Amino acid sequence: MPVAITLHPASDVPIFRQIVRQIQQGIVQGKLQRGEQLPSVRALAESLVVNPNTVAKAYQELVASGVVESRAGRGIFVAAKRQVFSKQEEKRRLAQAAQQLCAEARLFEVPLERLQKLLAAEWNELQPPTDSTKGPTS
Amino acid sequence: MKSIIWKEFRETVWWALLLALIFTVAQLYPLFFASTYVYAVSSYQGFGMLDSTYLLVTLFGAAGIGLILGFLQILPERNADRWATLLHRPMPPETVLLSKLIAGTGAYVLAVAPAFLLVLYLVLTPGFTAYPSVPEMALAAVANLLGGFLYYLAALATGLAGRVSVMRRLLPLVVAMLGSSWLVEADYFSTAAWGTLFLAVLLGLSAWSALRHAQSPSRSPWMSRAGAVLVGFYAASAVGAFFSTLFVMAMPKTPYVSQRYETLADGAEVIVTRRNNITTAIDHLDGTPYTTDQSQFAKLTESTIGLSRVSSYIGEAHGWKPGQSRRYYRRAYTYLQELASAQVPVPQQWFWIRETRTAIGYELPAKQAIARFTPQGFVPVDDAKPFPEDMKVRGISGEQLLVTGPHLAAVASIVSRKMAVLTDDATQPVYGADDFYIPSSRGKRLFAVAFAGHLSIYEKNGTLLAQLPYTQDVSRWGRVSVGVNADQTRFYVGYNPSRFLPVSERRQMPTFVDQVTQEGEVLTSTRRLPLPKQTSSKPIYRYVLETFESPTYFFGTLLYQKIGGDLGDKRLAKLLRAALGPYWPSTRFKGILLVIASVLLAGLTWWLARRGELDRKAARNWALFVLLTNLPGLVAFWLLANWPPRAPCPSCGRLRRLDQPTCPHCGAGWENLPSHPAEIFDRPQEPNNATPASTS
Amino acid sequence: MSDAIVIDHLTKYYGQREIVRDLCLRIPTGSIYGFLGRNGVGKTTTIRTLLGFEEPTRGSTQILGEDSRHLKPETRARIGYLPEGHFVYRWMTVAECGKFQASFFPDWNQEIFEAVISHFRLTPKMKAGHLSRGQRAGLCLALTLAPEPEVLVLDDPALGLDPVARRNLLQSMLYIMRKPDRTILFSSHLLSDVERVADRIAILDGTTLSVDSTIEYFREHLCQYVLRFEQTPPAAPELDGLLESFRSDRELFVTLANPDDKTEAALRALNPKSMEPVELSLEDAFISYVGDHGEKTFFTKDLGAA
Repeated sequence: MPVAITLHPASDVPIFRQIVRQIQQGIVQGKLQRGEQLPSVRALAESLVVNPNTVAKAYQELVASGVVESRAGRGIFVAAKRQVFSKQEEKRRLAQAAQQLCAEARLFEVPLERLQKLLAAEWNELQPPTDSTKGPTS
Repeated sequence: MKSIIWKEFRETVWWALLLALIFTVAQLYPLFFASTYVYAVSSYQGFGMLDSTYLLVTLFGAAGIGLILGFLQILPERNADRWATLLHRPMPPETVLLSKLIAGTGAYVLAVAPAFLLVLYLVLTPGFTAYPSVPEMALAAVANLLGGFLYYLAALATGLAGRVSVMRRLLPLVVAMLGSSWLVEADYFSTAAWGTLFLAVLLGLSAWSALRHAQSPSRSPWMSRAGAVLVGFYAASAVGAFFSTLFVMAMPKTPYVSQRYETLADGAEVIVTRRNNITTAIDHLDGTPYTTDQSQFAKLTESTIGLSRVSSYIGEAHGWKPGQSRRYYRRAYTYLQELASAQVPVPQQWFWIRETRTAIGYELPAKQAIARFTPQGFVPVDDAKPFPEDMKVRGISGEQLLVTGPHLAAVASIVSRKMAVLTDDATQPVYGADDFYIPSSRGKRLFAVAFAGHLSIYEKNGTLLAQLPYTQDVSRWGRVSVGVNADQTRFYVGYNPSRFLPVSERRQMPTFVDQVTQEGEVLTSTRRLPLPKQTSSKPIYRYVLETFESPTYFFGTLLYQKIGGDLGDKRLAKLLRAALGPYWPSTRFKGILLVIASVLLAGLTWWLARRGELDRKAARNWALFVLLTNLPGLVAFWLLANWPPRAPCPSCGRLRRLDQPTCPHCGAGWENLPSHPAEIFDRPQEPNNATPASTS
Repeated sequence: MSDAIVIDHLTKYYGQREIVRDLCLRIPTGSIYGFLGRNGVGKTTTIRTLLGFEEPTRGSTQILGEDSRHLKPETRARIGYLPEGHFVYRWMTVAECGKFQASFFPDWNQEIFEAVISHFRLTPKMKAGHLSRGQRAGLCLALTLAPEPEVLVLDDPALGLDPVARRNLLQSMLYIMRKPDRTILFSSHLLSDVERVADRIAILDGTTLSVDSTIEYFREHLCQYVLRFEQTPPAAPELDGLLESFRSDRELFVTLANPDDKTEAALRALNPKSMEPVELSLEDAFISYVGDHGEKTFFTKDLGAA
């Protein structure tokens, strides 16, 4: 399993959602490639020491959102579709990150222009995710 | 089951071995090291195995071993969850109990085995204890070891009891105590064995009942319950007997007035009246006071001429045989009858060994047999035959033995090892012999032998002093007694009705006392009319106590006597005749009282049971039980009934059973729980009408 | 799918004391059920009744379709029971414990026994009396699992275990669920463990059952709101399902069960500057659910003032 899932059972996020998010993250960060097979429900459940139903539920949600696909009799694979998060979720996550960034900038009394420059530099630094089977895309 | 037995045995075996070691050491100490020296030998202390310290050690040691092993098997495991671990295995809970019993019995046997082997060794070893030994000597110790097993079972039953009152828990222990008090009294191996078996079964059943009750009170098997109920009954009886004894002791005594004929030192015949053993009057036979000076009373009564009984009857006994006195092996003083002791020439003590009819002397403190005494005199230990059955040997005046046979009367001294024959003539049957004191002579004594026609008086060395012919009809007044005045000028010969006459007849007959000179001349002859028998009326509380005895026992005894009598047991037939004959009024009175009391108590039981909302069947059974057992049964009922838990009814406020759906008073059910707004259910709560939910 | 365990209107008294009242619970075959509640609310009593070691005062319990009061030995063989406290015979070795237990079960699976004890790093020659708490738990678990029970009842199995032993315990529980139609009922105070392995939870509160749902459902129906105010916040309104409220200088925390539009409306009626829902972890949710209800004032008092 190329994605190491770390569970925090005491957190306020339900376990199945933690699994969903970390797999989504893995795909976004390119740790999980398109077409790659995910571990079976039981295997993942036993390696994470959680109830198989929880894993099954996470997979169901991933399948439902089209991030992964279930191939009958063969297992679960990362889907070709790149739309990992729903539009709404994307918006929520960006807003959250922006809020945190702005709060820190205000704290250190960084002007907006410097922040924008910083953002642009970071944007250019980040390589777009690569696809191991089809080669780099942009 | 095998593995549980193994586990139980493995858990107790080291304890058993440790206890065996301690027990054996504790027993060996009094057996071999306690000093049984001549003056230390009281009537309660005997030799070796009959040594009282040794017996106390066996009694308490065996009880302690039983209790320790029993509690050890249960208490460490009785913690609710640990107990469930043990029981949650594919087997009935009885298997666990049975395994514990088997292993525990094994451990108990192991723990007392050295003690038992020691007993066997002692019985089989000549010379250590009384010689020759008889197996019955081991009875006391063996009965104690059996008693310890009862304590083991009681500890098991007590330990197994779950959430019940302390009183109820203690019942088996009380029964074990009762059992060991029975065993202490047992005179035969068979009595001890049957008693142990009976109580062991009862206690075993009560342990079973405790096991089932702790888990599910309503479904104990009836046998186990019956055992528990009987244990309760016996315990209640024992405790009741204990407290009624205390009660009787605490009650004021009714004064006891007695009147007796006495011959004063001056020869005057008087009637001495005593109230609670304090002389209150000394009167002439015609009723006039001999003296009214009370300060003289003590002096006068101290120096009366005592008459020693020489014979029980003279001549033909009319088929009457002296009753075989019961043989108590349990206690030293009945097995080894102390005869005489002396410090010279060696410290020695003489015993009459009843079972083997042997008089034997031991050197102390080595407990070494030194000589035997036979009709032929003193002989070496291994040399003699036992006495024939009808020979009597008594120890008199410290160091002398008086032996009486069909034709023989002799006095022997253990100090000089010499025997003086008073009479030994096959043509002159001897009907009895005794010694009697000469007043104010520092213990000097004479000997009297009763022949068919006269009484012979001898000195210690066998010299004939006087021959006194009988003046009364000794075929009826054959209980002859004799005394002498201080200067040996006058003999007093008493004639009492012979022993073979029925008591009722003897009571009506007068008695006689003659004053006779040494030459046989009768100076006076006094006729003593029977004195009115002092009947102390039974205090009322005695009746009250008797009222609560078990009617089953009372009527069962009568039935037992009737059946036994019909089958030819004369003793039982006689007891029944007495109960239905002379004692009929009291028999009838007590019978009616018992029936009334037990019927009333049975009614009370029914009422209490129904009031406590026991179901009808249980109430009926308990009432029946109390009808048969009276007050102890009522106590057992109170302690042992499965009183259902009750609480006030939420709708009418009266007590109702918690385990019943509706209230018997107002018919209301239990309040349904209101659903509160914070409860969170994702499916309906009624299991009966709901469809099974899926899990996701 | 049938129910492995059915508890039907169970009411249990010890003397006059009510321990459990009108408890209804069905545990479907194939599920893992977490049985929760504070100490002393009757979880153990319920479990003991279920296994036939206590008699119900009213109601009944069934396990594997058989009345608990009349469990046949064959049925008992199909039920694994691990009581609280991890009892072992201290004088036996690990192997002897296994041999002893095996003698009662014809279908003893020595492989499972060995797998579990080696998972807990036990060797057959170790003396049971010398084991640590976690090792003892492992031994008990091995003894309970090796007969391959269909229903597993674990009474607070994680009590006193270190994190590693707890993880081993959870793995063992999941391990036996590999076979179909296995059912586990376990009581625990460790909510993170419960969340990992349980399908559903039942919560005993006081003497009564007040939660029986999936974990998700429970969390979704328990909400906390933070209301911010300009000045000292008002007291929380009387609301259905209000569990606890807590006031700080400018904020009001309200935790409630089964919130609906009406409750939100009631909270808005307090005119807060802002109001937002907070997601609770299972542990926090459980604590607010079974903890003392009402307004918390405990920590608002100044220690120095006394």
